[in-house]
Amino acid sequence: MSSDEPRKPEDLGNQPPAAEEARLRRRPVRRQQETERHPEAARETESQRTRPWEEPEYTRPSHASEVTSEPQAEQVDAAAMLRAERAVTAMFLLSVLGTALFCFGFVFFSLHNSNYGQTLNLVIGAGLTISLFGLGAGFVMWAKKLMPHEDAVQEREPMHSLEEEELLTEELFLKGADELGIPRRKLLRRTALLALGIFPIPIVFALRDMGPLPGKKLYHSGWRKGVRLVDLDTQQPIKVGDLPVGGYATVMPEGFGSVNEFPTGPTMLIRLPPGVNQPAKGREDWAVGGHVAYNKICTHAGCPVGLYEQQTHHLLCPCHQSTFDVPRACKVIFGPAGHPLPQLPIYVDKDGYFRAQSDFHVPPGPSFFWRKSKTPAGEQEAKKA
Amino acid sequence: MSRYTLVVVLLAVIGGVYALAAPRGHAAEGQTQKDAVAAGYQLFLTGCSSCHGLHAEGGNRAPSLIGVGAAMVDFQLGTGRMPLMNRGAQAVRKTPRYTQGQIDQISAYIASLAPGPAIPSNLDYKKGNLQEGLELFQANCAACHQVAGMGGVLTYGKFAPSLTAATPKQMYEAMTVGPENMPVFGDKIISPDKKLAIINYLMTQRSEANPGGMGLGRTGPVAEGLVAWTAGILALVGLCMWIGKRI
Amino acid sequence: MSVNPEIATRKTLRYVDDRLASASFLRRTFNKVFPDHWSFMLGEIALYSFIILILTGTFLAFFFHASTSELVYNGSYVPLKGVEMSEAYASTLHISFDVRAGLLIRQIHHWAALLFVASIVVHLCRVFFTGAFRKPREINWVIGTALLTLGILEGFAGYSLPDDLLSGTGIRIGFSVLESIPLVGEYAAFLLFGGNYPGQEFFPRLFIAHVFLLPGIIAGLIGAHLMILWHQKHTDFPGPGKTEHNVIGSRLWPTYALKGQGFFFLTFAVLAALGAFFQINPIWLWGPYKLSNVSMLAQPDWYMGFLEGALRIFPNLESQFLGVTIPWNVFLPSIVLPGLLFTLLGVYPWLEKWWTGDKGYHHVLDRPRDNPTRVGIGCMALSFYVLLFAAGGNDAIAATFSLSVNAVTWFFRGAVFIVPPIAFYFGKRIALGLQHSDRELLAHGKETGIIRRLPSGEYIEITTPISDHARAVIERRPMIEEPAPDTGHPRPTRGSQAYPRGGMVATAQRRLSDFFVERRTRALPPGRPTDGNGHGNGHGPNGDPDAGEPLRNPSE
Repeated sequence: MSSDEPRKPEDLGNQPPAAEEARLRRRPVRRQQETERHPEAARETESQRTRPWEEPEYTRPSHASEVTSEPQAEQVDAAAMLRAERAVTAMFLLSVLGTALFCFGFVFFSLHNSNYGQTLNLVIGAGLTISLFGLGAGFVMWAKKLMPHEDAVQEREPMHSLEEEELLTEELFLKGADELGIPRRKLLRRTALLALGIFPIPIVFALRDMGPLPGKKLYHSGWRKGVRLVDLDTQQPIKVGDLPVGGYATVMPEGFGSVNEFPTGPTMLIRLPPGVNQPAKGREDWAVGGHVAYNKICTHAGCPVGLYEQQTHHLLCPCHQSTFDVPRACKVIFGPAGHPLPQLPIYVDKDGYFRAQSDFHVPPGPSFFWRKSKTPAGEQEAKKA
Repeated sequence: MSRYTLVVVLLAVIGGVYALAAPRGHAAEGQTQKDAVAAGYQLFLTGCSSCHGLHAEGGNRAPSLIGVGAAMVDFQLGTGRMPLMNRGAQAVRKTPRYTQGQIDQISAYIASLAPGPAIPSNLDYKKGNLQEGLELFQANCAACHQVAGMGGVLTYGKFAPSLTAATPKQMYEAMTVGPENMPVFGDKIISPDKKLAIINYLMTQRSEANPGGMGLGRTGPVAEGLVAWTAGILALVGLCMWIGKRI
Repeated sequence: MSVNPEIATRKTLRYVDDRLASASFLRRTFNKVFPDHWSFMLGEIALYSFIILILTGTFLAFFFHASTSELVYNGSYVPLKGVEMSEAYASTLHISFDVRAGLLIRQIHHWAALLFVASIVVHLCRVFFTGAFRKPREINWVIGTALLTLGILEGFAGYSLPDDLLSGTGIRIGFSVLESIPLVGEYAAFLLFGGNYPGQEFFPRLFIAHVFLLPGIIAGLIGAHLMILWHQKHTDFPGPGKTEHNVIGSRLWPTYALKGQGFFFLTFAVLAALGAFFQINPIWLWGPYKLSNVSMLAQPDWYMGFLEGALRIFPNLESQFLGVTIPWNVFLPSIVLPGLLFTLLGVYPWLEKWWTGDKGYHHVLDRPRDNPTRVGIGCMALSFYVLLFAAGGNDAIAATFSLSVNAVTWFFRGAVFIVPPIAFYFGKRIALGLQHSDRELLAHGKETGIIRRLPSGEYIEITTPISDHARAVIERRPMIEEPAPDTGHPRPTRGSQAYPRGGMVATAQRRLSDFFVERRTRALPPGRPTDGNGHGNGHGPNGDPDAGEPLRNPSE
């Protein structure tokens, strides 16, 4: 056989089986002969051996390791070994049982029964757990009990190269950069950087159509002048007398279609006991007979403020505990909300139904940077005043 | 020794005589309405008037009961919230002090003072629309009582109680009268059918199995996170310590 | 003809080698040594959890419909039959109630997500307290910080996909958080959501982010993390025979591979047990998301808890001026705070290098007590985080312990400022105390609890010398070195450089370093043998072992 190609895969198949086996099982040659056969490897090993490492204790090539092993108790004591082997075998058999349990449960337990498949889930879950646990415990016990305890020592390569190596690499790179002429060719360099720098800009343009500009959308709640208040669930208009004292209803503007079209539309219509409401100046006619309407979307982070405390007249948002005092225009009395819930001015029409006088005067929902302090409806009212 | 035996025997005798001879609440059946009101008034004077006033007119310590209706009384006494034992942020459910007969009498008395919501009867909640009940519960009740009815907190120590111990009658009454800080859900907003639907949903949910295993109180991510860190991480770290070296 | 396994193995290896020249590489790989300590396996938990997330997630993706189009449910869960809901929610119900093993796999997936982030945190703590992030492992630390951040985002995206009432509330809050960013907030929110909240575009995008974008980036970063770890070799605790230039443990083949394989199955088994026996995220109880509904006790999954807590306890600051509004109450706790915290976390190795002046290579770990200031900083950071997490559950705490939620909120508002410095102090003192007790062990040996009465009437306690192993561990790390008298800050360790610049920066550095590095000179006095009797162990008249009295001869 030539030294360049020590073995040809094709040759293997043509030999009689015994000879082939013998060939495959040949013991590896000693290191010197190996390095003779592979000059590249020899150079590598040699240079590894002759490199003067910084740290004087370093003596060996990095991928060799010195192993000392201590026999476990099980290696010495045959009975203990047998017990350990039996335990590992038992674990693997347990795993088989677990797999079988999973398959059995999957087939014979029903998903559509009175407890919605609780039994099925427990059985197949237990089966899967046992199956996995058996495998895992088996392998771990094999490693811990049946293998000798070993302490292998491996040298660490320093995590930095020799200075010569670093210099060579730097030189190589810089030489290439010099050949490119980058330092000298200023205009070339600058125009290349310019082109590279701005070429991603089309990506930004392309992403523009991910969504529309907000425009005035965040100011529109869906409420407008004269629209009736209807219950969000039943879509029926609300009359005076429908709400008992201490009651409330979640309302939307009549004809709203889907609440998703008007995410800041939901409003709380609350009936306060007589004499409790303390309307702010200019808002005396926004309430009717103790009925007040406030936007339900919390001005902090947008959760619907669904908790109404009937006796304290507080609205509490369950998300971050912002608390609004309803009689005092939903002033924030606790929690992180930055401003009160906007009030919907309402009136009662001649048939007794509640209607909105206009849209909210301040933008509903959480704050945003360019948020103006008034909605278009609010600005109109301010002009009139 | 014989001294103590005598004392024990005497105590037993006195206790037994008292138990036999002490006045009992009479069952409401067989009594006329007037008798019930009168008996209720007596009970009211003994157990309620010190806070609620001699004629239920209220005062500094407790609100007026005129006009609250029999349903409110039945709810408060039936859940044991009243009589109030400790002044706190809110009354808590506890073992009722009165028998149902006594409660009926006191309710009759309060109802006689002024009209108010009556005690609901014939609550066939199974007739309620289960799916509608789910939607109504989530829209109106979950914000305070939590989606699984496990209860929640209100401001300054008040709370919305867990619904797991409430009876259908108590649920109906609570929706109707709005006890403590619970809003009043009038019939025009949540009709009686809808109330039955909500009750049906709650009772169904209560008896429903947890198909995923242990329910962890059905309270949500807080409990789940605790389990992940205790059961999960502890188990896994324990396994690490089994597999790896420990020094 | 029966196949001889040995021959088959040899043939396979040769076959591969004939194509890849892999023999040398494989030998190096098989021989690679990994240290054995149990705390080095914590990162593996995260790795295996990630693999399990991919496996279970693929199954779920075969059934999930990422669309918010409304339909009427017609599956097996009775209370929702006939209810209008989104396709996403309906498909998750389908997985839970109409696909066998669907709920099991869904639950394993969700538990694995919780444990993925939890194990990253535990692994981070181990790396932090043992100083494994020091040179040359700073890059891996930064990758790890990025993995933590991405893991949290990925989890948020994942549990929001079913569009139930709980996670939908979180998405609404997310929209508001985006809106709160000054200048660009509403534009960012509208771009991401394809319009106003809720829109129809967000869910398909969330799905792609969750199953493709984020897992891809995470997988890539995990790959880089492991490759760097492989190349640099794992750190190890001090011990007998261990130096900065070697690593002692077990070889990859056969022992470490076997243990690793076993541990994978065991991790999977724990996750399967959680998924089998503990219900998680019962979306049928939460109901389909409707923007006008909300539930009490609505929290995000645990790893988002610190953001939720920050949102809850933050004061209601909002500025309106010159026609603009800055909602500090949302912007600061949700955007600025996590940005700051994760940045601090990511640059910590360089911060520590700066104030200790230690720029050397470290392959041997610190026992946490070896760096008391770092222990203090870690305790401070952890206490801050844990308090924020707990603040996120303020209503759960108030409900469980019948407290006022307002009082609980005020408590946390104060605690997040008061407790961390106290934790710093206690952490540092405990580490110094442990150093102290180590010195006791070196000087006096281990207490046996046996008391002997001498003929003179004196009582002494018998001590035994500590084992060589323990001695090697304790002595390997020198106590905090005495500051060099000339420069006034600690003598740099091997391989480091002196502070390069003079002037204000160097003075600031020195002052900061003085604060952060323990200055007490606690080096062991030389020549102090242990005395097995416990008699005359150098205790001064007040019993202070550091009074420095020479050893008293018991015969005196």
